[in-house]
Amino acid sequence: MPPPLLVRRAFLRGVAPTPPAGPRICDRYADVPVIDQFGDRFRFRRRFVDGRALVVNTIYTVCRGTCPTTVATMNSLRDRLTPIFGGRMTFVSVSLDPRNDTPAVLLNYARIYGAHRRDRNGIEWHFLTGRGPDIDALRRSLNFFDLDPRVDSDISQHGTLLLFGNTRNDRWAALPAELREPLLVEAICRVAGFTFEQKYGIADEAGF
Amino acid sequence: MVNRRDVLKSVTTVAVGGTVSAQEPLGPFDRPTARFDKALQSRLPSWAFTQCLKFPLVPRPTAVDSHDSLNDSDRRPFGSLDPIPMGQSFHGIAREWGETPEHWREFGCDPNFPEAETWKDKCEHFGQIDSHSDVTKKIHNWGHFPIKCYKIPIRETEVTLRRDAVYPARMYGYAGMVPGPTFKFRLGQPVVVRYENHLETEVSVHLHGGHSPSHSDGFPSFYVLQGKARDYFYPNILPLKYQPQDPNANEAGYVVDLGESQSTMWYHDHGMDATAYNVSKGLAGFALCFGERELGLIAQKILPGLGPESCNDPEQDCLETDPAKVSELEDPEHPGFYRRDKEPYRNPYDIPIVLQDKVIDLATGQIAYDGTGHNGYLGDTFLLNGVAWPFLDVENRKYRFRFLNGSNARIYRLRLLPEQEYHRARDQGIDAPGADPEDAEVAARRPHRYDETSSPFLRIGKDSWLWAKASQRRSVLLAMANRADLVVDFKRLAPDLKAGETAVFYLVNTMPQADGRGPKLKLDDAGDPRVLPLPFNTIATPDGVPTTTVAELKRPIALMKIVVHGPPIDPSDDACVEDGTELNPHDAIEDHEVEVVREFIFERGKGAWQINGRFYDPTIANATPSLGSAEEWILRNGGGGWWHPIHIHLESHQLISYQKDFGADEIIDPEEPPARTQLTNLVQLVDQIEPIEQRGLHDTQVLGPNTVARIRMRFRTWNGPFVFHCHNLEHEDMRMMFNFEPVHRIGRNSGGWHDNRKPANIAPDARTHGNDVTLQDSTEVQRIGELPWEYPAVPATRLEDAGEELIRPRPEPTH
Repeated sequence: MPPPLLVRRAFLRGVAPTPPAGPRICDRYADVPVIDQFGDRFRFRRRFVDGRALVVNTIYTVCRGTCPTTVATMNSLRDRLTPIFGGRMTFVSVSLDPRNDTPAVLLNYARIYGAHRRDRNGIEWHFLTGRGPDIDALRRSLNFFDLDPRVDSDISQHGTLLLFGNTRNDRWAALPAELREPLLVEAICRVAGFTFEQKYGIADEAGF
Repeated sequence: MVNRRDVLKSVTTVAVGGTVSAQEPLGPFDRPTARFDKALQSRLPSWAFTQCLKFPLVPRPTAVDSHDSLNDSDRRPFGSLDPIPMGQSFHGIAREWGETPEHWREFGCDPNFPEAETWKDKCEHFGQIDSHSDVTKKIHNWGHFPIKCYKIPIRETEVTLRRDAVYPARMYGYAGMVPGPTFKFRLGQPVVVRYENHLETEVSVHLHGGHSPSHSDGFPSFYVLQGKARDYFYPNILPLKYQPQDPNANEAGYVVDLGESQSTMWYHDHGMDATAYNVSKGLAGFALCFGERELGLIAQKILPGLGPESCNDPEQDCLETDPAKVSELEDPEHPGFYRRDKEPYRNPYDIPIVLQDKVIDLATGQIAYDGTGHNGYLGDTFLLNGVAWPFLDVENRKYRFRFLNGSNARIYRLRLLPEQEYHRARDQGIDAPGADPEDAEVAARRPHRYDETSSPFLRIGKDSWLWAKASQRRSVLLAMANRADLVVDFKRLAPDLKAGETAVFYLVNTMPQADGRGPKLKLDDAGDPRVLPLPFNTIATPDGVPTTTVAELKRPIALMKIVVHGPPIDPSDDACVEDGTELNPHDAIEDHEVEVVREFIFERGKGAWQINGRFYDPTIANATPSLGSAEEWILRNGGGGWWHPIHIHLESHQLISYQKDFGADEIIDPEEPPARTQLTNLVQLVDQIEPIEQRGLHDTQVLGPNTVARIRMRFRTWNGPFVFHCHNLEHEDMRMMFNFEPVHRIGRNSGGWHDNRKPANIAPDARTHGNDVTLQDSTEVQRIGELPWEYPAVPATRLEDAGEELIRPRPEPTH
């Protein structure tokens, strides 16, 4: 690709051009149409990759394995993280079984964790479903997949990962929800935090 | 009959089909981003081999002085612009800088001495080494030379990674350099590096292959926070060995363990959850260490170099301050760094090369990083010392090449091919050794093998250490974080070259790898998930070992072009190392020394990575070996066809056994997740590895699929915490990591000072499961990281403080 005209001019003048922002990790997240437990329709990336902190996991409502624990962990994390992040953080649980997990089913599921009301003053929690291929593309783009096709196609073997990060500075990490809660809180704050205080829980005193 | 591969293929097709149908019209966010393309990795750009290999500069110290004068509070050891005294940075300095730990009483030290005297006390008790230049001179293991101070700001920088990228890439760099500056350390010369973090993320610097106190070892949560600094204290000492009958032993019965003399170390980021991203953005560099044994080999021209001239450090004893002399030493374009021909231990025939692969977005020039399912990040642009596909001009003589695999998840098999052979392999392809010669298609090509066409060289070391003896090779397998110390004799490869003529050789990678799982049997078969069974070849034996060969690419991936100039030099002027030359002997860890056997299973579970079925918790000691003891660890690959290079901090280890269950490679049971494959028919393969290579030493041991390695290791000097982990960096970030914390239990001087003597903790079921908290009176109060001799991640801050009380809801920032 030939350099744009302005860039070539900058080179000719001997001025190093300012490099544009590179591809972000979150630019890969599929911008597929999804629908949440309230029946709101939107596109994933447009809605969530907008300078927010995100915590994402995968669930399906009839899971009898790891999901109940994972979601309970999410619920308790929400209580811990709300005072720190407030409205700048969003929780997203993507259904792996979109055919059965309709918005109505998800709303009932969300009710257990108090995520059936929008007016909650703090971290919003969206349970997402959508067309099967869209949701499949979404979970793959969020790195919720296994290289082994047999494991990958069996949703009862899905991971318990929490993907968390900050879409503004594009820092991301993923950890299993089974970790002790203080470790999860520490890691989420550190990776997804916007400010020094949010990240490390201490005031930023000047100086090295 | 439907075979397994067809089933797998159909599953893959369905999954891929689902993705494809989900494609939407391009929206504002759908700027295509570069992705790893396995077809691109063997395609060279037209401009390949037009850029010269570059060498990272060697930093000048900011101070060279005694412990006492550096501790002076008026002193500015890190330059006149940095007013913070030694050790007073935000994260402080290792306590060993000013104090003596209790357990060093064992060596004869006295922990009660005031600070001014502890340094001298340690010098006296940490043993002495014969000087390489003068046998009558002795060098103190601890602090023989004045202490060197360096200051390295870690900051963003712009680097052009590919010639065809329009813009330079924004990278992270130690001192703004990618790769980081090359440190040159001397054993016996302590070093303090003040790392200042100017990035938008926290970092932790690990000196890989070193023997450093925990505070300076890059424990993942011992951060350098944003905008803060930490004084890393590298004493550059050798551990001590208890040998009371030795005439050189100190009064406590200890001698210096010379076999541990490090040579090729490197330093890289080790921050929790972020190592892979940070390293791919540039946080890695060499730290070469020169011990008396190695300097002796260089001075005697056994190893390539300028003889005694390559054993000099212009600022070993004091910092040059005379402006005229400084301008002679310093690179005018890079103040604070040496000119190439003035650097310490200057050696034009010693070429350190870090190999990395990255995906580069050509439109923006930036690195395109993605965790790729946390399997491992692979790239299709190959960078050597930060230069994509470089060339290197060499003289017709022996060269030492120190290769470091600094990639996140790629395993290399390096070979050196003469130009003609490379072109033939590139154009016609090389058949796999197992190819059927009866096959018409195979016969139509001109079958030849890599081992017949690639050039021989000597391997003289692995990881941080020189081997006991040099050994001839035609290829070297390099897993992540492994180093290969090689000597190439171009005289032998191009004996007939005349003046003005050149001969060309290509450094190539022949390892087929298309995802983070590991090298594959065949690169192009997407439906077959099987990866290479072993990191080395085997020959069939009666006790069940089959003949296996490490598969190689049909067409090699060229990494670097080497151009040899002129006629061979006189052999008497050249280095004399050859096959079998003795280099750095080390003592085997004998059966009777082993106190504890522990087993660690590295496996995939719940979509993430586990050891012994557990996720990593930085606050728990998963193993607490006794200080001064040796243990045997069983490192078991939990299956699933993954390759895991296991890196153990603190010290070297020796390979005792390498077993494999060949049958398990074939087991595919849908009812049984692959991570739980039981390895039942293990056969011993260690005899198939050359004894020199078995012994190593090693600091990173690659586990092939369904293999079990037994290693032996000593735990000396520092009381932790330290980590061991998979060095596939994405696996490491997903916490495929455990802590070990050497603790003091056994007083060698029986009847001595040690009262609360405790037996070694031997896990009853060989799995420690993290319950191993022998030394800790209360698991609630005293955790690893908070022991009297350790440091919380953030000074004076408890984890709980990150909660509601301290932090008010933030006002909504504008952005």
